[in-house]
Amino acid sequence: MINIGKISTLQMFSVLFLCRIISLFTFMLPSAAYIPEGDRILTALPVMLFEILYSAVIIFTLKRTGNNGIIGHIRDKSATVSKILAVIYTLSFIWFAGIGTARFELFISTVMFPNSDLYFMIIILLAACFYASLKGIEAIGRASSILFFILGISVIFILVSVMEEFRYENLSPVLTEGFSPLLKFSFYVSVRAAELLTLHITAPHINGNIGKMAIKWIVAFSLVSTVILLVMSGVTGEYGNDQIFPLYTLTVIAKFGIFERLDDILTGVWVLCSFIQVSFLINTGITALNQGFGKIKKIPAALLITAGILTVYLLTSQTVAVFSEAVSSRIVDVVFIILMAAIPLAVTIFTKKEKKERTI
Amino acid sequence: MKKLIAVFLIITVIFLSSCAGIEIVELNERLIIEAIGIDYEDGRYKVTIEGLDSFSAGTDADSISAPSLTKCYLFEGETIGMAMNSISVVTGQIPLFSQARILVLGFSAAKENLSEILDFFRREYTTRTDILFAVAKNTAAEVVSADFGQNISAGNILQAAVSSYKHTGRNTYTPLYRFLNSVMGETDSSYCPVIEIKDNAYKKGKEVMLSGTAVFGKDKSTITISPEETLGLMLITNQAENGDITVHTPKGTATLEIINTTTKTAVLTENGRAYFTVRLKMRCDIPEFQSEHFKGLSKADTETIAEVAAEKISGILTDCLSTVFYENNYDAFSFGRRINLKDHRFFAETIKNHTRLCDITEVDIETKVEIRRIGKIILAEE
Repeated sequence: MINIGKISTLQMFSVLFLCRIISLFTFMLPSAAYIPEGDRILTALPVMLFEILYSAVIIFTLKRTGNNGIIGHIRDKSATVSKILAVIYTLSFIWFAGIGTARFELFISTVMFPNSDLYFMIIILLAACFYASLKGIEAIGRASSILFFILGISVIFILVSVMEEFRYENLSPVLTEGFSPLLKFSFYVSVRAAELLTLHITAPHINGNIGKMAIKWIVAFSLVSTVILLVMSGVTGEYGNDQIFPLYTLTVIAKFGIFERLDDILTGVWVLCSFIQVSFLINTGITALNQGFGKIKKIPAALLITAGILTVYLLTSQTVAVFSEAVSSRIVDVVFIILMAAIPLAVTIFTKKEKKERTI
Repeated sequence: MKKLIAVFLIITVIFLSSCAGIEIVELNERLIIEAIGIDYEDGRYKVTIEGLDSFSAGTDADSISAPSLTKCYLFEGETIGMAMNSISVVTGQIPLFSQARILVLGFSAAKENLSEILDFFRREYTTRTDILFAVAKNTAAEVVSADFGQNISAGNILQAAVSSYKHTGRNTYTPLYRFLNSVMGETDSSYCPVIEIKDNAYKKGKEVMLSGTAVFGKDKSTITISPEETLGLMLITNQAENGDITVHTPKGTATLEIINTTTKTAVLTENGRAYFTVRLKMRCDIPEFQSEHFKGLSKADTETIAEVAAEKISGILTDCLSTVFYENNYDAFSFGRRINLKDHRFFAETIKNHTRLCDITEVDIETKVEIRRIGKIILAEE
């Protein structure tokens, strides 16, 4: 097996945080799931509940598999199943990374270079991510912990700067149509982020209590999200709900003394976050293949995954309508639940039964 | 070796970026826009742009001796986008909207085509929604192209004039995102300052005058309120920072400088009506007190002045409310939003039944004024 390396739970926390903030706040999800305006600020809390459920599955499977990860665990019992699972999980990471790249391009081509063709830039980004993924999860973890600090400061700075513009009247009443739309929308959001899914694969490469880290991450991110959504709503009101890049819109408004263009700071940080997200997902794909197939060659595997990401990007980024359709497809919901809960639970139950039979 | 490869790769990437499809525009190829004025006439948009004259500025050793720092252009088109596109044809430069300080609409254009015009600035990639928004009393072209003196940018002057709300409280300050937010609100009436250009009394040239606030209804109707009523609007909506008022007492006339002011608004819905209580607390200094006796002010005098000032301010608020809200049903005070937050069902019913907000709303005003300082003169004995 190739040496993938190990990172601490704190570094993993940073990686997951950066990946999630870029997934959820750079781009407003297309409104395939309806939510009343006022309920947006509450979204983070039900999302937290859904994610705690997902993390319960992770904690359960990790306990059963001895932190081995589901693919590594099944390999001892069935090499074929482990190979199939490795391919399935890698394909899901390719999908999420491809969508992440398309989202990044959508952002750059809208606010930075609207009249430019960015294919070459994306190829350079993917080449850099390919290179970073080969450096292993430790390098990505270290870079993330530094970037997490920078991002944290930037977000706090921006939120403080716009507080002067906060108007209570800009908020909208909550739960005007009951809990149902809020729960539906929160579920829709919770299945569109790959972070928790990666823990099924990266578990053997994390030092420390993964379950505790996952819960802390979920709670911390939900609180941060609630604050960001509340400030966004109080500052931009209806206008903000209309924006495709809501946090960017907020930073355009932010001013702090002589600092008037805070959006440029955030744009720079986001470019780095995108780089971390794609590098991490390529690396996780390599890890999955490695767990499923045993000894694999790192460079060809990474190349294959990067080529897959480029393909997904090319297929989904043509127009904003195609991208929205790809992101909001209901197939994603089903696939996510299968990968997040159904397969890990099936693997755990199957191996448990086998264990019992052997004991008898 | 690895470091050398890394350096080589970075240099390659930098060089390749020029052929990477990313449009790289030099600064002198950009028309840096300072102010935008839009009028609508005979079915066509007339866009007046004030841009930094980078060609002239670069011709002499120092830009001060250049013929002019800025230059104005007029473009026409069936849509704003079409008019903006002709900028490059005329100037040979690519417009850079992100530096623009102010967007001014001609009064009739704002009245007739407000949402059509705003869509460009809400949607276009390079525009920024923190740009200031105002309407011209006559035409926007007159405002944006006004000659304020050599090497003086109209954008700069207009921005500074609108920003004076901090000191006077008699004009509104409306960045575009705030205006858009109220345009998109269900019951809100959006508002912005009205700019007028007049001749300078002593020199050849123009100067800015802020002649009140334009309030827009949802039905393309609009009214202009006076600077005094604007002060009322700013006080009710808790936006006023400083300013001054004059009060007349039996002992003399005092000028009160507003040091700080806070307004709290509470709403109660009962029996199909909404009851608002607007509580205003203001602290003022007295920099001037004109009286025949040329004496200092006693504690009782300051109390009398505070009482009279509170009455005067209540009057300003009441006048503003009756002109804007009760006579015209313009909700520039976010009353609708507050009702919605307090009692959504009541609000939804009101909207559903097309009930005029002003017909079901009562506003009670409580004003308290406190005199903080009386200037350099000692407090007189009673």
